[in-house]
Amino acid sequence: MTFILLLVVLLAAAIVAIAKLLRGSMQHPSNLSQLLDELEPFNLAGFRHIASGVDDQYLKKKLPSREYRTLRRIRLVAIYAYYKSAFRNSSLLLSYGHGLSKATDPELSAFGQQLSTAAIQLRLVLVRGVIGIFFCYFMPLEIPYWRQITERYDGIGMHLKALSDMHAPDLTVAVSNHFSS
Amino acid sequence: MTLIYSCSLLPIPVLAATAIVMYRRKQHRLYPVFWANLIFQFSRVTVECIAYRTSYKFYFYSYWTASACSVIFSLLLLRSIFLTMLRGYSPLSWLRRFGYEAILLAFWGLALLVTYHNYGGRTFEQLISDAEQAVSFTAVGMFVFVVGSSVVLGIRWTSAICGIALGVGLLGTVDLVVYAMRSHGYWLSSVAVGWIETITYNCVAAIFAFYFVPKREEIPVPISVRPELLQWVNGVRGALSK
Repeated sequence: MTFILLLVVLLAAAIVAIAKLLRGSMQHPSNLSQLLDELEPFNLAGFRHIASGVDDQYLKKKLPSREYRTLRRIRLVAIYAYYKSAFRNSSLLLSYGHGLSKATDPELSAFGQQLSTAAIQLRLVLVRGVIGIFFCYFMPLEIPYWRQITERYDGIGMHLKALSDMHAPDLTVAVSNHFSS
Repeated sequence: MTLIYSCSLLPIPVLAATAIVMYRRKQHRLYPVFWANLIFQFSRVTVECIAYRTSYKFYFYSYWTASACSVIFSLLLLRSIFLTMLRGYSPLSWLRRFGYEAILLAFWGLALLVTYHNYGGRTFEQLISDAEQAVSFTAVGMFVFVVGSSVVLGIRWTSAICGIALGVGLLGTVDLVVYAMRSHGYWLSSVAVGWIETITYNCVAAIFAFYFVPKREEIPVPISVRPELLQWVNGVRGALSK
């Protein structure tokens, strides 16, 4: 019985993986402008505000526990939505960085590697953050890793600003708008 | 000549054409394990077709030996995909170094445990099905792990890598279903197994050809320096040097 259960789970996962491969994961942004078009909006200041525990402590003191719990659940859903956007964006940034690292220009290639490293670090913190959010639904914990996420996202913004300053000055404003903190 | 025998000959020209096209494009240097696998599969089908017409004993041994080698190739292919995927990401070097082997050991242990935990009174045919079930369980587990880690880490694949993984995954999944059903005594006639395996194998050969024979653009290298800007920079440099 255990084996049948394991087998069914494994086969279901394999079918999902095959379906994912059939759909393809082939969209790679080929330039900075395309990358900016495909990035989902991520308001860093808004995220910081909603994830920090300052408001939470205040509301916990002032509101009846039932209302507080409802409000906390809504807050967690909003944070999860932010994480989902950041997840998608980190994948695009990884893909763009990987493509840049193959450029013939050594400066661009080095920049691509730096961007890839920063994006994968953001991704790893996001994975931990999403797992943490799951536990926050059941336990009265503070939102985990939100500081690291904002720092890493900000760092990537700085990287892209430097790139646009050097190679695409007309995109600097768009980069600044997306990564404004 | 039976219909199933004719169908089992179909992958021979497809695999040969794919291997030749890859060689002409020098892709055998980019994907050495996959190219070696294509050559192996081509030889396998050819030898099995000859053996089928020659003697049952020869066919039996060639089929099961080739099946074992095929699983080893699948695991090597998945390993090469995993290593290629994580290349260039220094924060993931620990995963690149030990991740695949650690998960392979875990899946292999789990497969042996669930296959042989309640053992006894097995026929020779069931023994073979059990062994195949254990190895295909491991192969499918590794396939899920490799695709899953790519999804979690957000690393996008090229079409070639997608094609290799799709072929390996499809073959492993169908093998697992067939051998698990046979091993657990579910009725599945040899003719039905033969047809399922042949159709799947043909599909896999077609998938490999689809992803490798037409010329495809791999990841486009982003062009951040636009020609007009470069021209402008050169103009400024020229003006400053005067």
